[in-house]
Amino acid sequence: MSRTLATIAAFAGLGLLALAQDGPSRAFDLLKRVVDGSNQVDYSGKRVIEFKVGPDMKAHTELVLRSQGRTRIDFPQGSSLSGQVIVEVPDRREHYFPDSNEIRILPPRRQDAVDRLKFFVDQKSRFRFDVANGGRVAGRNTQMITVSDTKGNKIQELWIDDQKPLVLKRTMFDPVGTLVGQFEFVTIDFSPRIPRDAFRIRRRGATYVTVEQHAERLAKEKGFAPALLRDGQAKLEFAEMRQFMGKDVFVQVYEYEGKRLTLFQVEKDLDTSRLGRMGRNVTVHTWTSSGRSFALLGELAKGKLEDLARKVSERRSES
Amino acid sequence: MKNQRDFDKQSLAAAWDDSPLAPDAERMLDARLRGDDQRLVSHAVANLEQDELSMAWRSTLNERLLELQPAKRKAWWTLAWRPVLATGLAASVLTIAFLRTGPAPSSHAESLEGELIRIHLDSAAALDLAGTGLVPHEVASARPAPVEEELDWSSVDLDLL
Repeated sequence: MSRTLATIAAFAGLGLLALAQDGPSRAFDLLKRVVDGSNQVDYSGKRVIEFKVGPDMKAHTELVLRSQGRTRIDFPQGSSLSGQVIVEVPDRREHYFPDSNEIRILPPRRQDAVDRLKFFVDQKSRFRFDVANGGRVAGRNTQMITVSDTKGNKIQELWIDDQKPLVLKRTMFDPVGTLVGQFEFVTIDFSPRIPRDAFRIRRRGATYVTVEQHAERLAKEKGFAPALLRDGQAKLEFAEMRQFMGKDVFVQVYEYEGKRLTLFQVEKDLDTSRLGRMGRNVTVHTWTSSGRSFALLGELAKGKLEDLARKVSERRSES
Repeated sequence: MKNQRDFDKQSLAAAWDDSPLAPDAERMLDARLRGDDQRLVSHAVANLEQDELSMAWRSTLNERLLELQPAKRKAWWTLAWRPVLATGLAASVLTIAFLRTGPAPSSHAESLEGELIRIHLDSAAALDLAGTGLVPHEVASARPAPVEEELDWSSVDLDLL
């Protein structure tokens, strides 16, 4: 009797050991399945996104429709975002703002987001992957992958549908383990009925504005130089005006070879060495022009950043 | 013949009255004093060590008493110079450090440089998370659609068709 129990215990132990060793590769395979297959999944669903903005978390809800690599996002009636529509196709993103009757033309973001996820797959030796049962999300069974750095600091958690290559829930953490953002589908339907013309925005009288035009307009409104990074590989993702200690800070975020660059323009002098100290893994290049201070930040080599900084300029006036 | 006890009584009475002893009693007493036991005692007393007078113990006592006496009060300036010197040195070092480096850098949130780093990291994280969705500044800048533009279609409208 005791011999039988010992044999069972030994087999159970070996099984657990095999599972433990299999965990990272299973997690990696799941992640790869999402990277390779998420473009082929059609669905409609409601997802709640939450970001850390300053000290608080701010949430909003999106109604997402996806089919054949195209995406449409609407917002629930009654929300401050109601009436805005986003349509993204592989080569273009359009964002309709009803208050200004404006359609903003932006670079697509979806492939970039997939590429960022692919970064974990390509650089797998730099990360640790663990997998566990994720329970149910939006009524679906999931597997939860935890991505950590080599020291075990949690970077992200991803809940992946058991049947479909889709992330149903995702959480992200800063270097000290604080939640900085998360999204979660609360409903999902993998057999959506697609309305006709769902992936086109047609609005008579609306003005088309590129993101570069929007950035220049924003700069002029606040008295900044309309200087942009003018490089064929650098795509302006968005531009915004921030406030710090009662002063405006002009922010432009670019995508460059799969990495993020941020170009800042401020009225006062910047302490380059302090910026460098605080940035840790972020490379910093600062300069002044026409009484303004500029800073270009990114995870690039210093020389590359300096090359790009030389391409920050105002648009040449058309004669 | 008188026995030993009678002589002892006579000797005690004579000592009491301070009167001379009878000749017999005196001879008896002398004989007893010359006895071996008396000589033994006398010899033991004679061999006793002679105590010499020493003042060493007194010297030790004096030293102990001096030690136990409360210390004499020092002048105020002899007590104050050390803390004053230490405080002065510390102040000098701090002044030099402050003049060289300026005000100490405040936390990330309180310096413009820290804010720029935070915006850069937050923007990258937000774009990753949002995917095709909105990033925080797009949410924050949202303004509701003009009232006249909101056409609230419902199933009732469809039923009328």
